[in-house]
Amino acid sequence: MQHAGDPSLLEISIDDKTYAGANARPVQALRDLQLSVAKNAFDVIIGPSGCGKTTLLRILAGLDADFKGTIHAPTDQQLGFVFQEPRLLPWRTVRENICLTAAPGLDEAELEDLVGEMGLADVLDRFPRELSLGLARRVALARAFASRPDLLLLDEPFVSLDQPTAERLRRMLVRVWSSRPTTAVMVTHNLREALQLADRLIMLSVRPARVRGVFGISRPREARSEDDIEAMRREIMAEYPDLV
Amino acid sequence: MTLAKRHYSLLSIVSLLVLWQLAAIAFASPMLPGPPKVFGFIANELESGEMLKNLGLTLWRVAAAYIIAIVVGSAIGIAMGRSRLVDHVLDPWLIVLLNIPALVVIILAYIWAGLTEAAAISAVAINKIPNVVVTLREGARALDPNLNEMARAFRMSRSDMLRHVTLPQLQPYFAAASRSGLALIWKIVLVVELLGRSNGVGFQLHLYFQLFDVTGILGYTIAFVTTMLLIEYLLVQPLEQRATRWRSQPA
Repeated sequence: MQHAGDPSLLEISIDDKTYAGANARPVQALRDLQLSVAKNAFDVIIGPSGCGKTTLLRILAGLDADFKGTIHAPTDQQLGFVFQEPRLLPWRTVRENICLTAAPGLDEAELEDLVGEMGLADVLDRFPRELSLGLARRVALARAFASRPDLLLLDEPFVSLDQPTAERLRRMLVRVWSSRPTTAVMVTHNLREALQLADRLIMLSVRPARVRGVFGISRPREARSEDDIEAMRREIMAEYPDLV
Repeated sequence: MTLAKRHYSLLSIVSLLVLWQLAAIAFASPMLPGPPKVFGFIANELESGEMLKNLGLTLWRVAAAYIIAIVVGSAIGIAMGRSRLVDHVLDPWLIVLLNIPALVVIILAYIWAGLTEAAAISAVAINKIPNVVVTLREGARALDPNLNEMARAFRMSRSDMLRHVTLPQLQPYFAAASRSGLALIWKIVLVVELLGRSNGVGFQLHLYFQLFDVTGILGYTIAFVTTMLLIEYLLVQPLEQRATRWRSQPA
């Protein structure tokens, strides 16, 4: 799905983001990073490990205001965040975890739809401790969608899952996302995953990160075959051999 | 507890009573009355209403001091755990308070505020507050920044955050402070009553001590310990189980 005509939702311009690393030595994570994100697009940010991808997401989420630059975004936008770890509240049931941050207007039918699509109907009354990592990740995804986000941020939501589980979750994500128009920005260092999900790949350099290139994918994601993805992967790797 | 374990506990209590009775027979002195005499005393005192009145007064002082200590202590403890500045400023005071003997606080409270109910309860609370502060400060320091970040990302309201994110994390620390708190408070309350009140279990113990009436002393001791155990089993433990049910593992 391309949404070329949509106005941009986010205008990001970060001149400098430096934080105190080990021994209080300053580490520059981002420098001269410009990016705009179109409404209802699915952008995937990819770059080498430790290049500042998570830092960028935290800035977009408003969790880190200590940087030089500007972010233009609607002031009252609702945010959905899927963290690397599920970050569920262990003392609340799955249902409570989802409903606690759900949009005020989310009714029971809508919740049931979402929960059904994510295959969570049977575990609503369980506590997070009783769930496998894959299930907990699905709950985290459901929670993010239940908040009806204007902007959905995903920080490597499928790492440390086995291949079939990760694959299944990716398909669930595509299904749920496609039926709910949402601007999504995902971070990953898995190129195949990025090519499977993205409307647009944003490639970052090593730290301090800036945008090295943008790779648009016009073919709808449902129609992307294994071969297509492999072909795109080769094309990108030829141009950016040290991308990940 | 399994049935076999219950039997052993029962057996243990019975043998304690038997030993006590044997010792009473062996000494044959009013300084060591046997169980029948002591339980007879308890029955009489219960009938006259005297014991319930004194137990009630002591319990009310325990409850009042406990609530004040937990509320004030956790507020200060959480503030110290969350802010380095507050911690630096208040830490020396805390160390001083932790090391003042309970008796000194009680005596000074009575001298400065008079032999009043308020002085008695404050003296007990002040003795307990430093322990609550230390425990809750530890709890506030151990709060998970990841969950806090999650709550902020989803724009959770402050009250929701407190109720669903912060307080549940502090719950084990509240439980620890409560548990050690009750044990400490009910012991100090007796001293406070002995020194400056004209009723309550502590006052009664003092009275029977002056009369050298060991039956009265043992009678009140048993009644008091029983009350505290009932509170532990009927109130504290069920509440704690409810609060920690999410910890249970899948079957």
